[in-house]
Amino acid sequence: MRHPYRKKIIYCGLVIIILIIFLHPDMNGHGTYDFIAKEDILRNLHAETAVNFTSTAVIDCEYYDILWDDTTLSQSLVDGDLVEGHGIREGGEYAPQECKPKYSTAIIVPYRDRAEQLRGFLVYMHTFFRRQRIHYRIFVVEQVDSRLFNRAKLMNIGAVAAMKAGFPCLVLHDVDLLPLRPANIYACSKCPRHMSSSINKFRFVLPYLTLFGGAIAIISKQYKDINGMSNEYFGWGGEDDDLYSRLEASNLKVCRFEPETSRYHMVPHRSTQKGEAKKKLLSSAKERMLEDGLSSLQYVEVATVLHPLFTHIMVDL
Amino acid sequence: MVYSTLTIQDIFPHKSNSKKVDIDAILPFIIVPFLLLIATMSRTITIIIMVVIGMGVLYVYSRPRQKNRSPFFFSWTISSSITMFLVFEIGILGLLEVTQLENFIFLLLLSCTCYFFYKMKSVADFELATGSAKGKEYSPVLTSDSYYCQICQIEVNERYFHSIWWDCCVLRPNYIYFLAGQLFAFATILLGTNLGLTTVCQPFLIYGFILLPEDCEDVYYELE
Repeated sequence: MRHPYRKKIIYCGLVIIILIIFLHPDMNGHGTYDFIAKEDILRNLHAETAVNFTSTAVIDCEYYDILWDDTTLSQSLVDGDLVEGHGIREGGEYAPQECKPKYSTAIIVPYRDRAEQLRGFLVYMHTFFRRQRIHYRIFVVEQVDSRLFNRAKLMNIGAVAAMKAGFPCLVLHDVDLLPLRPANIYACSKCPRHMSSSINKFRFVLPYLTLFGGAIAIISKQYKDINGMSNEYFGWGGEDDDLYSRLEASNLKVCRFEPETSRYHMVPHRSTQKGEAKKKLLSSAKERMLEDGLSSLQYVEVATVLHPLFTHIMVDL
Repeated sequence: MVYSTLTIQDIFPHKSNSKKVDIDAILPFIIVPFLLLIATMSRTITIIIMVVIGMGVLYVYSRPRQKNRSPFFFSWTISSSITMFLVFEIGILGLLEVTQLENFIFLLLLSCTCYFFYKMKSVADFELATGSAKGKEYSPVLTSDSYYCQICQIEVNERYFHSIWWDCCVLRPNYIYFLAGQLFAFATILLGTNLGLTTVCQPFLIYGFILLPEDCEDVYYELE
């Protein structure tokens, strides 16, 4: 390195480093983002219970203390069992006995081939919901054919079943995600909410601001208005971005809770097969919105079974 | 890799001197990325490659000092730093799991590292040019407490060693830069590998705020 142009090399290096920082803000995840402040959450929740739901309790449930609960559940709960006398009715439905819940939520979980993970998920979620004093029911939609996994279509099928059961609020949930904070209340906010914005797999960072997958909460009416999700996404990926562009086209703004509250644990698994031609589908997402979705939903329902912990809908796409 | 170049050097020690130097300096820029590419194939291959590189280093150190004059080693340092830098800035940041602040801290540490090593080399060059490293009690006769660096061809009687990886003498005047450079390099690599591994692996929280990689099972999966 005994050259006269050594200084120039150093300066070039510095310039490159500075360029990297300033020209690639899109290459970074987001440690924080705009969110609903804790004290505003209750005001922003959509208080409505399922159509045919009645409670014998006299007093209304209080949710204030749940929102300020700063405990973190342990993911080792998945290996355990539920306590006896949990009061969960057939089909995985539960409502607190001591008070009248303000929120009814249908948890829709698309599923295939992960029996052990599903067992852990159900045990965990029922333990988790016990702390939230909401009325809920878990719908597991299983794809029984051998085509590539179509997460979005299964969501649509689950949503139709939940709406038929009169649920005003849908939570579209992946089976490998476990909410860590009981403060992350599973009720719909007035805006469609991205719940899993701080997943351990992503270093508790939000990869990009328009991400709208994993676990989301949306009011049934809004879901109907955007015609649900697209039915065309076979294989992993793309359907969540499609859903986001549908929301965007309908002028629905997405919201989130603060990162601390939105912490999730992703159960490790081998990634599923990627589908083809996602780019093309995505580019036409807004045009397809009206004809592709709940309105064009066609499938064969193989069976619907009420298990002790969940409603099992088996479908052939 | 270290092997083959050294043997070539040993077999043709006097043939076309200038050309040989060029090849030595360029070779690491091909070998390092190539080895790393192979290492991504499977867990066994990664371990083998890393052991082979480690053995290469041990072999280099087992040789008499004055034989390790080739610019190969300095090029090796530069090429591996550049490769690591590019893997981080393009591969890891592309996964969108590193925040801007973390990237900024990484680049800051890296700049400090570069600055200190640059300073170290420029001081060494200055000493070489002026010959002022000989110390206060320098006598023109080589005494028992002074050393002669075969590679730089400079005589010193202060603490010194020749770093083949930086291709320069580390003397008292630049030792502090060398040390600072090493510390910052360590910090940079520690932060970089932590960010990288927690990005590609399943991380877990320790003490509520430090992320460490836990489950790296599916790192090789996509190539299989």
